[in-house]
Amino acid sequence: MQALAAATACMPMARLAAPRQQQRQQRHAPAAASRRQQPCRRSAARRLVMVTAEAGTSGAAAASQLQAFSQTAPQRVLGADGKLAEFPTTAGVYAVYDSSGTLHYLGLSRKIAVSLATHVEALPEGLVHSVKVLEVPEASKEELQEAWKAWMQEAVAEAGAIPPGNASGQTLWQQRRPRAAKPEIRLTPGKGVQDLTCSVEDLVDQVVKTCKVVAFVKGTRTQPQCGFSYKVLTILQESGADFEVVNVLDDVYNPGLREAIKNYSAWPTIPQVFVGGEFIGGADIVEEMNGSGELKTALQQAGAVRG
Amino acid sequence: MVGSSDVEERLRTELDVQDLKVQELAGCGTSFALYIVSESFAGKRLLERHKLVNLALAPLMPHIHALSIKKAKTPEEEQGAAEKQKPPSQQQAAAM
Repeated sequence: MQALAAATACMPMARLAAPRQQQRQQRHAPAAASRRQQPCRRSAARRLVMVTAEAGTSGAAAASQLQAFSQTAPQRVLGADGKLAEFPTTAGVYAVYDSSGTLHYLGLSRKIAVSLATHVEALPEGLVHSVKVLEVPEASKEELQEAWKAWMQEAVAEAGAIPPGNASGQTLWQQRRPRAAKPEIRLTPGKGVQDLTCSVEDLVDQVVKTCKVVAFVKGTRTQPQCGFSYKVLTILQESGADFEVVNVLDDVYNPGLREAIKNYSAWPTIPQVFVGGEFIGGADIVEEMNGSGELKTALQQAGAVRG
Repeated sequence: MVGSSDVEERLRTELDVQDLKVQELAGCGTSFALYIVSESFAGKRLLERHKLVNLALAPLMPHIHALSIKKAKTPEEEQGAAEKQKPPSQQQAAAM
């Protein structure tokens, strides 16, 4: 989706400049000629309606998707608590303003909330202050692009210029700040088994019961030391789940874990994945469940991903 | 040292196997990929099936570095999967 956004965001200047040329023509054209320009806008709107209608969108949804840029009120990106406000996790178009109300970027996304979160993390404070959102759920690639174009035309007409973030060659809004990897869970303070007041299996039980999703693997989240552990971590990461990792090879902080986890689950191999406090299997089972959709269901039921 | 023949023997002894393939995997240590069709899996979900296999191989597990169960199906499931892979023309011929 980033590639698509980059491709469309960096459209050639000549194409994006077309609305401005039309504006100049209209300002100097006779009234009759000006009226003749109007059908073009209605034709564009009609085409958008036809596209959405052909995609099976209801009339109400089509009307919602055609919400005019100028009639959409911007909303704050961050709430009073400093966290991202509630935004759709569906596809759509969004327009980002800085704290002074200047439009900086018009983007399209398969998951609006995710894109906004990415911008907030990657860009300077104050640049992503408020946003206009046009939700286009279940849109095809073409429909999304059409919606973006419609809003871009309106935005250019309103501001008199292309948003700076959409200028040709501009890549600021495609940047993504590397997210710090979540640290692995450590079962002990690192003083050795002899200082523990309970067994390692008891500690495992606490972790399993406490975490929505936890994977016991060989290695860490960013440096798995086994192909099967890598497989499990990749699947969980791609699922978007909020999950914890415990490194069974860490003898300092997780002494005896490699054997304790096998006894705990009655499962002879590693990695092992627990969801909602229940053991669901190793790499092969997780992979198969991912393919069949069962993993997503289990993660949703555990509250590890949004349903 | 555990070989594929040892694994196969254990599985055939412990499970009601209709079809079995034991593949030795390249890499560090003794590793196997298993493709099993067995009536013993009937009525059991995936986790239970894998546990059955693990239990059957329990005496050998200390000597096995990695175990990958690629297939754990009943004969009916295997037959259904085979039917799905047939070209449409053959499926129609079979239906007649």
